[in-house]
Amino acid sequence: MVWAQRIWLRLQTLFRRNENAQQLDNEIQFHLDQQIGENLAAGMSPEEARYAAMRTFGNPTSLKEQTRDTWGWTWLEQFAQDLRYGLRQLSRSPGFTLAVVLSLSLGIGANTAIFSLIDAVMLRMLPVRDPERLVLLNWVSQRRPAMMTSLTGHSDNDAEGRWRCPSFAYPSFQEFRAHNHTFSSIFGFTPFSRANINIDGQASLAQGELVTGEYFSGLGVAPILGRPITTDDEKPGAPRVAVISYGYWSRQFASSPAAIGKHITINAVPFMIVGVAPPEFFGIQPGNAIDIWLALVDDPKLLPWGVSSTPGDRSPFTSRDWWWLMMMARLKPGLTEQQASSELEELFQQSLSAAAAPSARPETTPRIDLQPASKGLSFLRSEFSKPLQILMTVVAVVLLIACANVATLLVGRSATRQKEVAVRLSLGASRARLLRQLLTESVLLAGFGGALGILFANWGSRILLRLMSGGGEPLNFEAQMDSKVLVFTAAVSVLTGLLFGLAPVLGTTRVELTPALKIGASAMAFVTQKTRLALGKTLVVSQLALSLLLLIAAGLFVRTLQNLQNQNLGFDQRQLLLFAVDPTQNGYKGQRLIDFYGRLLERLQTLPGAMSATMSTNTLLSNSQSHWPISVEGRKPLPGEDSGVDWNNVGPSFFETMGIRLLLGRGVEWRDTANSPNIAVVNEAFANHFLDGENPIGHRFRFNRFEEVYEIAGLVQDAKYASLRNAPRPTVYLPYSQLPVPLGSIHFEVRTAGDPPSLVASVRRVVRDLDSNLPLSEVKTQTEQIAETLVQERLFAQLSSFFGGLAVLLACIGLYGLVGYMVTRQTGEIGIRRALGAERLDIFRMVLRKVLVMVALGVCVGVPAALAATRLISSYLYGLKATDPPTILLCSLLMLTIAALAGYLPARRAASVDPLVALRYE
Amino acid sequence: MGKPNDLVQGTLDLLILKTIALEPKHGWAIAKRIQQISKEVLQVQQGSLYPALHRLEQKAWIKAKWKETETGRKAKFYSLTAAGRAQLEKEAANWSRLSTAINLVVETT
Repeated sequence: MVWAQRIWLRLQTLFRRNENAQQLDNEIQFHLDQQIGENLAAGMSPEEARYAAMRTFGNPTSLKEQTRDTWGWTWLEQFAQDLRYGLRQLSRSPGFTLAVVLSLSLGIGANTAIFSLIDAVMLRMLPVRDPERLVLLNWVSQRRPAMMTSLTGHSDNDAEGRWRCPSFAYPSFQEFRAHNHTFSSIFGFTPFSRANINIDGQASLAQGELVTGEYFSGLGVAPILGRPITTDDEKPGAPRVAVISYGYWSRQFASSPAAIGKHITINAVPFMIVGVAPPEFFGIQPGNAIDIWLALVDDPKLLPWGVSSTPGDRSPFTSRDWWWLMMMARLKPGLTEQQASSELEELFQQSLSAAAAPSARPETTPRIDLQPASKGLSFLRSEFSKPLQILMTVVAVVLLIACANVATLLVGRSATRQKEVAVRLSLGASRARLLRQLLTESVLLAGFGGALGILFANWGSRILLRLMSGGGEPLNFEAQMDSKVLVFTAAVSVLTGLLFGLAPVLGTTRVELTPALKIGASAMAFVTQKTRLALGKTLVVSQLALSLLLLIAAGLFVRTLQNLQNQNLGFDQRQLLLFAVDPTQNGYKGQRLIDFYGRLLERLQTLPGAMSATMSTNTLLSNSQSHWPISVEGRKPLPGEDSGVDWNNVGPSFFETMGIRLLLGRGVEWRDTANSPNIAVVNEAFANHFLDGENPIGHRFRFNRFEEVYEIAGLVQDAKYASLRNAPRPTVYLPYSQLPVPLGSIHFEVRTAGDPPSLVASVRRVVRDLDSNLPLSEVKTQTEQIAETLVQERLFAQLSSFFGGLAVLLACIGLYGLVGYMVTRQTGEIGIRRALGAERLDIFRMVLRKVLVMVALGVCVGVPAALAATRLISSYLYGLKATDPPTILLCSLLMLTIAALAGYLPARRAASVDPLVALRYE
Repeated sequence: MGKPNDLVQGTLDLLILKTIALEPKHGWAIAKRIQQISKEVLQVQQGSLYPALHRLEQKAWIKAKWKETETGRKAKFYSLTAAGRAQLEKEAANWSRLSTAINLVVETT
């Protein structure tokens, strides 16, 4: 009761402060009047009566203050005072404020932008119900599991070097689902990328996922429209249904409710749309947003992972040795991962022994390994986490430099505020109160910086995303500013404010009152001045050192990019148009497929504007390649040697079109058909590795796992295949019609006479003439393709150059400000020197020498720091070492030059000081 | 927080509570009353009453009301609340225990 009353009273004093203060005045006035009245009655004169009343009362101002203190909001009142005062101070020097807020906002903005990506990729929880109860099912195995003959999916090595993979056989899923007691639901899914969707006769590609019936209920995601996919949709004979994403719904259906119940075809299989997922639900893999979820049903046109044929014609749903289905499960409340894991382990081993007799070798027996899946699948996480961490470090350094820069500016400013501080101290302000005032100003500045930084970040993270996806598969991160990002920014801002605010502030309040008051603001107590200068110099030197560090990192990244771009590829990347088609999705197979490709290629070769055209399974420098071990006839493999070769299957005139020089024999031609003898063309690396450099023509080889024998008919120059970083390896090129495995989708390469994109329309027409239901994908030029593989390198080069430049700029502003301050302070000294006969040049030299000493110090600290730090990025470099001397030398020289320029202006100003004016200055 | 002359804060609180226990009084009257009753022994610096009054008001032990005095001027009259009356009893009991104890010590030595 009393408590409630007290809180009420407190609030009243907060919201009725002015009224209360007025009443207090009245109350005290009444008291004084009463006393005066009494005194008058006692016979005093009016003057005396008033005086006596005041004396018995005490100091009204101080007592009022004490009374207000009892109301308990003094801290808030003072904070508001500090804020108002701070705002006034800042608006009085707009240039300073602008400089500080800008450099802070750049620093904070860069940090926020990178952090928002880190948040999206690495930290954010899936937007589903209780994501922390979700687990991803994996198996781990020392060696390839004995009972698995075919694997489709992601696999990697865990910390102990074991295989770790989330793909399972479908029967295992059924057994897990039927017999487990630890999960409230368990559901399977498999990517179905590049689904060919036909809506009202318009074919387009979409990102699909095949899911089992409990997918939506297990995740706890309810459609905003229609119904989810359920277990009923899995039953044989059930109508095929799909749920589309919110984004796809608004893009393809203009958010029309009529989309529900709409019939579409996916790879020529009819489907009905039954639901629309909520806007925040992107699937379960950050960065890979799904457009359409399809109920997983047995259909040869809808194979898992979008593969075009099943290995050895196995049924994906009954075969126990083809592992392809990924699974997530939701733990029952109160149960732990361990309990679930041990039960699942038992079921898994039963499932394995149903496939084959238990293996004698335990290292080929996989075991269950559950992984928390609250943040979704981690494939992107592992790809981007290291680059993002490097970028985060870079921007943290930039922020540090910005802090040091602002601190330098504040040091200069604190000099001019010396007198103000002295006055306030002598009027009785406590040191703590003053400190609080100055820190409030710093945090205020940082707050403005943070607010502006959020704007920069919003804009920056969008640019970053574009840089990261590099025109290829777009990264669909939801990198919006959520509360976590905002909290991060606020925390960074406040910390920043304290960091840069504290150093100069501590110096400021350590004032010797008398001299500071006596002398003008420009000439203060010598001791504090000296410490302040030392502080300023330290700050500037550390800024220079840190920015040199960033500059060197930028130099290394830029030269890496140059090295990659300017190397000899072995083929001509100019004026090549690439595109892919996949007729297998529409049921083409075997000879029919080969004929289709042949017809299409013939048309392309005679297309006006095309100089030549060809095709290949993998386009060059697309990061995809095929690699199989071979045996060459009449040659014994060396013990322990790598007998693998890269191979590519290509169409006629591949080498002419790509500009790969034919050295001996012939290339692949039209006469190489399914019925003609098998031939192959090999590269120099092949001849050198397998045939000791002798003429390879006429030699024969076969792939270890197939019977077909290929006779080498030609030798070509080495050319880069999958990646710019790897030297060409032994490579064989096979005619597309003579593959030992079924042919799948294929890429066409057209060398154009003019600009490649100008040919796209006519290429589309040619394809549509042959099959109107066949979409083109990956339409781009070879140059664009190469650019895509350099996304990370370009990202690093561009961002580190930008931040390096920014850092140098900030450091130079700091240097310029400090030297300017030094010159102002030394005006008197300069005047005396000049009067005693020093030349302008002497003064100029004197100032510049100080600048150069600071810069040299910065370089001396920065280079070793760079040597230590760049080791972290050495795996990202190409063609040079992390300690590359030319880069370090060049960057140091650049730094010296820029810094000398920044010091030149104040030095010239010092030199042009008029001795008379300078001497009168004090 | 300024200390009233020779009076510790808790004692001043007790005096105030006791003084207004019978009837509501304004600040000046409270000061006068304390001086009178104590036969001018307790010299309260009058102004220091006000921080104490406002503190007691914030604790909801006393409440204030603006009323006209007999001379027709408006003044702020303080009176005890229920919680204040309980507090007065507690503090008075404390005080008498303390003063008895001190008396004992002073007289026996």
